[in-house]
Amino acid sequence: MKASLRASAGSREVVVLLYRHLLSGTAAIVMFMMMLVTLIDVLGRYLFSSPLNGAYELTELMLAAVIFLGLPLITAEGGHIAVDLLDSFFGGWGQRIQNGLIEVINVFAFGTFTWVLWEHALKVQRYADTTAVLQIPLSWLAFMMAITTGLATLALVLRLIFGSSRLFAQGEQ
Amino acid sequence: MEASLIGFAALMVLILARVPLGIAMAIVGVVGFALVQQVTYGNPRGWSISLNMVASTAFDTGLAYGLSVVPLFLLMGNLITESGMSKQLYRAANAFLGHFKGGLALATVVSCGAFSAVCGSSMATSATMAKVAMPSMREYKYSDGLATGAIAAGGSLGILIPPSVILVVYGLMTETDIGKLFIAGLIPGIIGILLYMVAVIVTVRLKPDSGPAGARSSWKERLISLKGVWGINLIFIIVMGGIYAGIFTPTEAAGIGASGAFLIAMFSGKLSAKMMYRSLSNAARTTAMLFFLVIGALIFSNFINMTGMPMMLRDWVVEQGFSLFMVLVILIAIYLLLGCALESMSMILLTVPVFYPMVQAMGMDLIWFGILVVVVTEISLITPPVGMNVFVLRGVVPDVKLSTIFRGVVPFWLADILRLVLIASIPSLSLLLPNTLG
Amino acid sequence: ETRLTMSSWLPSGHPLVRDVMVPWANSVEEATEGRVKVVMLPSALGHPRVHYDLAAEGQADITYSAHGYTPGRFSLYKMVEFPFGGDSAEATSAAYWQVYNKYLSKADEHKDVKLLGLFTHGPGHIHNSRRSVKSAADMQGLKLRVGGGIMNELSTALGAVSLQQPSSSTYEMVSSGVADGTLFPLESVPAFNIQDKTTYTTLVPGGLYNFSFFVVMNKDRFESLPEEDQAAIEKVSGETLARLAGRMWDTQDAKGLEAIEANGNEVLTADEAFMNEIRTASEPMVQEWLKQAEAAGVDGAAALAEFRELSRELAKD
Ligand code: NA
Ligand code: NA
Repeated sequence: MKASLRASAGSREVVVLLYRHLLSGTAAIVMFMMMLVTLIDVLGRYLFSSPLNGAYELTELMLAAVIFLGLPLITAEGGHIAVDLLDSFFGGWGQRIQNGLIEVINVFAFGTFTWVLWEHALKVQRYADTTAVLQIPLSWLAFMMAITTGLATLALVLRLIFGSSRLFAQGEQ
Repeated sequence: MEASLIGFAALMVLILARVPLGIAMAIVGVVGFALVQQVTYGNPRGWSISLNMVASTAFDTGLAYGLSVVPLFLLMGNLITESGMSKQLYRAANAFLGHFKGGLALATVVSCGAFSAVCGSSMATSATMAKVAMPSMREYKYSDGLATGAIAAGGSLGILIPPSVILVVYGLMTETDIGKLFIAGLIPGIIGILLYMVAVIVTVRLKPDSGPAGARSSWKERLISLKGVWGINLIFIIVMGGIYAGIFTPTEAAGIGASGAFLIAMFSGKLSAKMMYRSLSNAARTTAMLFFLVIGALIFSNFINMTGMPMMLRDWVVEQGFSLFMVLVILIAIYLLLGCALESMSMILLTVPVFYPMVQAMGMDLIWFGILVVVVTEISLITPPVGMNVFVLRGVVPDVKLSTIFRGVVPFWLADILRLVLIASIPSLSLLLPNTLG
Repeated sequence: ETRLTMSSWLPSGHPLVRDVMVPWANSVEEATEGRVKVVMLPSALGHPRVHYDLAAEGQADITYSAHGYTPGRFSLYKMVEFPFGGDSAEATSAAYWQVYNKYLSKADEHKDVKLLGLFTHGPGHIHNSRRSVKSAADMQGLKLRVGGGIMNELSTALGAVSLQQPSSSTYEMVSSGVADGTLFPLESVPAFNIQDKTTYTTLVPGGLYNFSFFVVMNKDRFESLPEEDQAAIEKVSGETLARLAGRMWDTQDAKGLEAIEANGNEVLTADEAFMNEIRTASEPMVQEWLKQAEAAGVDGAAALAEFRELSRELAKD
């Protein structure tokens, strides 16, 4: 019994590490590319009179990617801004009820957010919308947004079930 | 009109109940939007419209080129910090000021101001300076209130002293020359540093225990310490010089500044792969956190717009035949009030489109208005209950109570109000530089 | 009384809203004797690029936008965006509506909505801060802000360095000196406040490029109206709406030219040699489009020829 618990805790850690480094590693790469795109565009414009084709829309796509890759991380790590000025008003039980309610609200809100983004992605795919210059289909981005928001929802559900703080530590230390 | 007031009240309740800010704004926005569509416009598809609005707001905000300055300026700040440049900045300020009473807090304010010259965001400035300045202020037994107050307030200069994320966004929204806006922020920023220093001196005078004197440095040590700040100087020159020479746009400046910080850090041999990874991925995290708030704020503002409140407000002001001065007093009051509950970027996105046509029609210079808006927004960063800089500090020093920080901020808050009065009454403080240099 | 909502992404003071959408909405109410009322929503329900979907799904009943904002979705509209479409927006818009109904409507590109109107803005010209542009040689190395699509391909083919950004970035790019100039109809030069910078304007007879707009309505909503109201709306829409919009752009272009001249800027007109260079540069794009039209089952060559001919004819009236 104990051993199996430990094993499941271990595999849980592996999942958490995977979740975390896959997302933050991809986000880091996109972030770096975003910086590079501006540099190449500006240097190309001045040194060779040939700016990077589609730099503008690449920046836009990467901005969206960075935001939505970061979202499940910050959600899992409990990094959303909230105000805890009035917390001392409630006693122990009151606080526990308050916490429970807030977690349910969060799951509900993120669940809804995932659903509407998924519907939106299907729509973007149906219309076959692309960017203006490079004609990159926008649907993959829309699906990525829905999927990462879904991951954020999943993290919230796990926090609700297992209790939060030790599951995901905050930030890259 | 009533609908928008009910909306604001509901928002306050959710926020004070500790529902995350972005979620609270989004929930009130969605519900309000659906109900207004159904009730006011008789549209039976109110709810589906409202949910679609959420998706398209999130999608479009993700693809907003003008906001790409946010992650890139954050990255620039992270890289500068990781490579130790911010630490050296604080060391230099300390060498000159540390031996005075409250000297470490004075050095904190000055290095916050200097760091603001290479960092476009207030939150990044206060987070960075908290990591750098807090340990030594603790070592010298500074009171937590003074120490955190100086950092939270000093950090707010990040969006006033160029470069600035908020000024870029303001410039894009109002079609005002961003280069001129940047340079206009310089004098008000320096006034900010000076008044914060006065606030430190007064605090130490009233409570001598709060800020004991530190060690005195020799002139040799002082000169050596100055060598550590060349990197920051170079980045400032690249970013601002590039904008004024027309080499890149202020929006692109963020990407160039980040590249510059990356190259300097790499060639000074201080940047390991791990530090690079940390800079990049934490920039992504902070970006996600901020944009989640921005998306929530935009959903909420869609609802407020749908109630017609902004237009009624404008018509009311026009009807009353107020003078520009009166209008400014009213607007500042509104900003101070909103500043309690809103985060800076959301506040700018929410209010500027509503207010700027009004003051422009009354003949106000939009550069001056922009600086004024940024100064009030700075105040919101340290005003409870939602003071972003205070939250950031709490993240860095979790053992200090939120209420301690808010109390410590009071003298700086008063200095801010004084500065606000100066900038609202003397336009040339904002307009002198852009008019002579632009 | 039926209340139809309209989502508008331009500010209420913009001439397209003030002088086209609002008067058209009033004419709908008048034509239906008050049975149908168009309510302008106080703020847009989203980005310009989603406005077609908004109407298709019924989030707003009526919307307007531009085909070029959703690349990949429409292709036939490019017919009006090639060089030399015409000098008068009223004429090109009316010709656009007629040719659309005769040729392009077969492809049913607007099948998700009720199409109420199509129109173009005025002819696009070249504005820059560096030099007089009299030939493709003068375009070499000139950094021009352009939108996507034909503007971009054409300015690159003529030798300019094309900086692709939406029109909202124009002021930032031109005033900072990052861009030397832009391609714009005359109306947009003072509207984006760049006349002090772009002191050289080259007018291209018939326009270097143009831009295609639509006005659409939710299909179910339209079909749910009584037939007499449907007919009344159609009567004040279509070509009437196209002409209303085109007339507005013509008026604004005239004002734009006045502002440019009042600023003392140089204004010259492209000569036949430069026109030929433009024609040659645009030829591959036209060929590409003809293929797309064929794939959609439309006689592109006949449509394009008739559009240009008709637009010239109508401009004489
Ligand atoms: Na700054
Ligand atoms: Na606040």
